[in-house]
Amino acid sequence: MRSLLLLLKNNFRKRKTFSVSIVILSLLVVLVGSSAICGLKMNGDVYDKVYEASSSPDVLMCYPGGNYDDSLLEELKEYDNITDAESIEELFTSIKNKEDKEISALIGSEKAFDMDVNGNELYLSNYYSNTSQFERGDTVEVNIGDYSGEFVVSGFFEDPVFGSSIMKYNQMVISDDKFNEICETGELRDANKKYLIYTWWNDDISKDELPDSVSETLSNFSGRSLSEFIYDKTYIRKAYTMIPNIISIVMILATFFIGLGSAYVLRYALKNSIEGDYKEIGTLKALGCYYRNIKKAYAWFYLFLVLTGGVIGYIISLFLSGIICKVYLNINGIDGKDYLGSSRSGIGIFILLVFLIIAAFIVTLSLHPLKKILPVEAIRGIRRRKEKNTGSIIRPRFIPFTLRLLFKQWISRAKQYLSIIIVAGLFGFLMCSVISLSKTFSEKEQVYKILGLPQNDIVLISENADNMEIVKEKIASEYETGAYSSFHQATLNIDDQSSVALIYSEIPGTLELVSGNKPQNDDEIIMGYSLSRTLDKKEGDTVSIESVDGESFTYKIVGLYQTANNLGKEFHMTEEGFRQLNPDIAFTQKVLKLKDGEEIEKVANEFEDNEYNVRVVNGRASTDGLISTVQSSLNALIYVVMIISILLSGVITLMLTIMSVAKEDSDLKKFRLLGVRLSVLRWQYIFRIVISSLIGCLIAFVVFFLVSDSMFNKLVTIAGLSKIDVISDKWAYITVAFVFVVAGALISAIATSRIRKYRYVNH
Amino acid sequence: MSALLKIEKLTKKYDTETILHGLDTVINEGEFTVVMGSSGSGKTTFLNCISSMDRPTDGKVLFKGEDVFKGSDKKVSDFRVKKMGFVFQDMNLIENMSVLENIILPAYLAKKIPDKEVVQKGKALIENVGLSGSENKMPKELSGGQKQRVAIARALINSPDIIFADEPTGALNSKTSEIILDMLTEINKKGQSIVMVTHDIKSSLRADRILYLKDGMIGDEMKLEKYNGADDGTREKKVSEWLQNMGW
Repeated sequence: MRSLLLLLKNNFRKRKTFSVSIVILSLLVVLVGSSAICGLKMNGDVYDKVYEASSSPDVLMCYPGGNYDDSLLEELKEYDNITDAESIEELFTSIKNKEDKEISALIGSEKAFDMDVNGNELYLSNYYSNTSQFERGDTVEVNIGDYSGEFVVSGFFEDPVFGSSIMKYNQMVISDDKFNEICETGELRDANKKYLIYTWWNDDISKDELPDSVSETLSNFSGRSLSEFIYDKTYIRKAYTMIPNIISIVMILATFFIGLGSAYVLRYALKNSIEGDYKEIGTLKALGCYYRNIKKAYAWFYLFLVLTGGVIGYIISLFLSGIICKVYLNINGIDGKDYLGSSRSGIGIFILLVFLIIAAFIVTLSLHPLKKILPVEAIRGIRRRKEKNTGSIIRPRFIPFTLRLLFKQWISRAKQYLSIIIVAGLFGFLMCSVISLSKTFSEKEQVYKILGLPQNDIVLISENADNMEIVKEKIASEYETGAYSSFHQATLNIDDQSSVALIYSEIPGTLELVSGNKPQNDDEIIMGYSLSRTLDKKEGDTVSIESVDGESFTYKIVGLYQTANNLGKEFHMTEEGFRQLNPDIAFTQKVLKLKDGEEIEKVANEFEDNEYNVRVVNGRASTDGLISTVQSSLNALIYVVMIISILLSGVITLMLTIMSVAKEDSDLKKFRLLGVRLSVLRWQYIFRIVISSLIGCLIAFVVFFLVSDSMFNKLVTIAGLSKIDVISDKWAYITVAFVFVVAGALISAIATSRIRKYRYVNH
Repeated sequence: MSALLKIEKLTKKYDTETILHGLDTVINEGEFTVVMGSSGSGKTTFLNCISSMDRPTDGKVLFKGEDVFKGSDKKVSDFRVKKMGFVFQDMNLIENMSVLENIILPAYLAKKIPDKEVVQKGKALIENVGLSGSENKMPKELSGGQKQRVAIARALINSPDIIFADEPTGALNSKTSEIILDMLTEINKKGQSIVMVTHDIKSSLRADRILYLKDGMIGDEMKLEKYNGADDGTREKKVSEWLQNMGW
């Protein structure tokens, strides 16, 4: 045992550089992996608790003013599965944020929210605070119908139902008095009102069973096709966890890459140790030390390093996962501090154990050559390995000699620098992916296309179709306009699956199909890719949709499109097609496309107060928040990946260069003796890092070019999309190469600073 | 003979310990000088300082009148690669370079002759030192004597004015040592100066002059020219007697 301890101590003294690298890498694997998964799990758990504590509904329905009456509520209460139901009247408007951009909002009264609000106080959903749109003391102008008034932001509240950036509306609360005042001022149109029906369902229906139960139970509900949307709580939860899910997947991918890098460094360190201790191992064997004991000494030492790093990583992850969870919650405007509680310690331990087992496997495999070392040969320093002459300082002659020398030195030690190639390759790939994604999502119009969000620039809302025509003409006389169409949104049962139907008199030309074509006939529909997967339907298949009378109509799927709108669970149909299901429906909305997207806000402002009682709304106000969240999340990811990349490659570069200088001490002296300049000696180490990083980046670019499409297409299925055409940007490549080369060159320059004092003679 | 290296008040200190105490001497062109002395007398330090591998604490080393240490590291390195050749006990071959590459490396560094000629000259030197066919071998594949021959060829590639040899036969058997010494003698006969540190009396017999270092100072020097006509036995006896007088 004492001899074993001695060997361990000796090992550490000799291999500080590798020891620190392995500890740091193991730390990163457990830290990033555990934090990503724990953060995601905690986010889900906290969200569930917040949702439960806020008595939020199991199923939420939304009705535009004209489509609601109290009989719907009574009808719902009759269902056996529904234990309770209540309706809340809210006012639909758009307000301007600090950047003077319009955002859609639902305004509720204090009574409905069980809050105390006085005078002209206004309470906003946390979402508005977290996206820095508002802070306490800000003044907000509210214009609804004939009412116009200013409110002061007095606080924020947690909104687990409408608080996500994915949701179409976010909520605000004013006092009952003000709410009544607005309702009683002038002629408040139905278009200004939204009715939310909250229903609570039997406890014995599990979360997983709820969507099917909702579809089944509400199949004959008369208010189904009148609703703007019907969301159950699993659907709302998905909206809240979509962005954290994507961020976590990237982090888990990063963990996998760091794990690969760690495995390589561990194997390399072991091989290096055996080589370095060759004579010593021979002596120990000659002295009668068992092969098993020598193997144990190495195995314990390296596993101890992995365990140390892993445990430190695990401990830090207990704190970091909480921070990540808070970030995730903040993205969705959830405070959740009362429910944060303890971290998911089990996950971290599991990751630590898995990594330890992998490390043990690598260690066992790498220590096998110990057995083959013969004491007689080792003591005399005889090695069976043959030195190969790799590279040449003679050719090619068109390259200057100094470069030839640098190349030869690098080639003959290429294995040593494989870790840099691997790290630059893996993280270069990750960085290319994130930068390209960010580039793809940087243009708003592009995001609309990718996410399949409706591009309804201006929405006209009125019960009087003629008035809407007049307002539309007025807009067209001043601005260049495009497609103009009637619009209605309803929730329908399609093959017993509750889904959102978007009904247009003319399906928007901006909607890009993945396959097929747009409906030409009334019995044709186009379907969101995600819904088609849920229903296991493809282009050319037929589906059955229930009418308000419970009668089934058959429609043919003529095209598929990708969309994240309504989490992909939506389909488009024509106005006439929808009239088969609900002949009495009055279309109270028209959507208008403007030629210049920059004018949307201007048009909405200019025509907001018109004499025809037509509401003119910025139709993109609700989706712009989602786009900003996606863009800022991607930008944050770039920084996270860049920091991890620089940190990891920096540590490996530093360790490797210090180790190489120490290992090549004898060669350095010889070069100095022969008259090689100090600067040339320093440059060869910098060059090795630079060339290794560049090769790694090159591999990353090639792999990215080959697999990025299929990888991204798989990734976006989480968001209900089928494919994504990622814009690969040359700047992404240049940035990645630049980061690795510059960081590597700087760090290796620092690590080789001791060469400056190098003399042939040892003092 | 004119002075090739002029050493003036050469002093070398390591921390508080003085190794060389203000040495003055001259190495002439075409001269074969052997430096001897007991262990710790400062032989290797002396060689390192006069060959510009180590900076003296005080004093000057003038090569054809030019101060070797005056200037940047770049200048000193260039000077060393162009004007000097080195042969050492442990050969100091670069392990990941072939025989040919090891030999021609200083030529590339010196840039005195065009690239094409460098390889030709390298191959010719390999032949001269009796290693034909070994140009692509790696140092690990060579015996000690062969390695030292490579080191000599390397020292000759830039046709230096002077070759410094530190115990060149220290790690070799007597037969191989003779071959190496013959080669050095041959080189010297062609006009190149040699300064060789050794503790082997037989090796010292090749010299024109022996410097004896004692406690960091030149104790004395012996010129062997006057025994040029004498047989090896007589020369050896004379040198032994002289060394004994010096306290060897």
